[in-house]
Amino acid sequence: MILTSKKLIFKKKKVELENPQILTLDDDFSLIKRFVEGEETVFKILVHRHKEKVRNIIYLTIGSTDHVDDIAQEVFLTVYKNLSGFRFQSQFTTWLYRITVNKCKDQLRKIRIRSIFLPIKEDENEPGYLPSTDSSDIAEIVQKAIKELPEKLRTPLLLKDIEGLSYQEISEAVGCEIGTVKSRIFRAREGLRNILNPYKEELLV
Amino acid sequence: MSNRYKNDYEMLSAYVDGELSSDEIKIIEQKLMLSKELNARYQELLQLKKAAASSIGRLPESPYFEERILASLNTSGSGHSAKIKKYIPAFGFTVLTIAVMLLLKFNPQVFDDIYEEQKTNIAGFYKENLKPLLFASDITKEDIFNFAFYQELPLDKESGKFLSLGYEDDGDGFFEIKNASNIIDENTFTHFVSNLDLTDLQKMQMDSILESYAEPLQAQVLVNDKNTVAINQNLWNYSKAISADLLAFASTANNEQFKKVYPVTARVPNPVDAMKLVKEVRESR
Repeated sequence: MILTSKKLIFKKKKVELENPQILTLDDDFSLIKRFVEGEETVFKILVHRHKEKVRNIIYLTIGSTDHVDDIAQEVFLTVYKNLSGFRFQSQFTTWLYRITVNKCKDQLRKIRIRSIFLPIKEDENEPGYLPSTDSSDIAEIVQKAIKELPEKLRTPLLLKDIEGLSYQEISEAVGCEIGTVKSRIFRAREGLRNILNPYKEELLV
Repeated sequence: MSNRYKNDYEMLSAYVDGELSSDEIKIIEQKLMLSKELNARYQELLQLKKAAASSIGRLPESPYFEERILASLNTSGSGHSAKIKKYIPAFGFTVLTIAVMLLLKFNPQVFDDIYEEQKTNIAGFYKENLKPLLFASDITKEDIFNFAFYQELPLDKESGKFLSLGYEDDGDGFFEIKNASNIIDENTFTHFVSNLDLTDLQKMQMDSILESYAEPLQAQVLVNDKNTVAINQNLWNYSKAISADLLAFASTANNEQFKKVYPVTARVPNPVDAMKLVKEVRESR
């Protein structure tokens, strides 16, 4: 028994050595600590590290290039105002993506309300996703099919397939269970499969 | 799609995303080896994932984004100044509330005074440049007689405008400007006098009573250059006073004829009461 317990202690130490918790000078937690201690200039580094991810999440969630930078600015201003209260209990990106998705939801709500009062647009050139570098017709058809998906299915699918977020990250950003994310991505793909069924042959090329 | 297949396909979707545990990977890979259908679906999912990823154009980078954020932070303020700005509305509201409380404590009449002052200002605005609409020389005895008994006064004889007074059910007086007269007989006063069979002196006295009201009536209806018509509330009392004055005189001058002309049921004021009413009306402004 004594031997076993010693072994256990030894193993635990070994694990600690294998995964050291060393903060580098520029990781998120170190930067936030420096910010809290009064070094406000590090906020620029935080913005630089995460701005493109945040902008892409906004772009994919609202489905348009319009207002991306305005919403991203709101996100970082919110982060700036609340960063002193950050608890270091979860990753900074978890909190950041959550704020980002919430701001996008606000924007989508505003657009929906505005659309009630504005006349129906018949202009097909309204802002949307940018065209793909792949100029084939099928890319355009797939993009249209993605737009047809409901927002709650489309967002997790795009965050996974384009931004490469994990199910865990998506669940934290969207504010639902991992199982729900898994199910929504599956349903989004089923939806795409049905819409794109007439182009099955072209897709498999 | 049966539940079994749905679960397999859902698991396959997570497998494509690399989101399965090692045990789940073993299970799905075994199933893939055994099922051609599942394998076909797997190929489809891989194609769909690839197609979705390549269908949407990437957002170009924003090289000056950090500068924009910093500029915005500088504009909106930060640290202590931001906190101060945040509390300015609450602080302002508190100061204002305290100021109003102190003002009311030391000068409770302040709001009443302001109200009265504004009321006077509004009244002054409308009273400005008020001039009589009627001219005493234009008001005939017939007009005054009709006003006394039919509450109708001509404002503009050329265009046929008449001021008509009336009473609501609750006793409140009202006036309206009409485009035509309600009185058909144009010589009501002449007929009244002739029916009373008065002496020349009495006729002169009757005329004098009516003429004495021409000037006061002129001052009761005013108009300014903004076309605002002001009617003195005393005008209703003048109508009563003139009729009482005339009836009292007529009944004294020739009571026998008066009873024939004026219905017995109608209330005729005695001369003392009539004089009292006339005095009150003439003295009030």
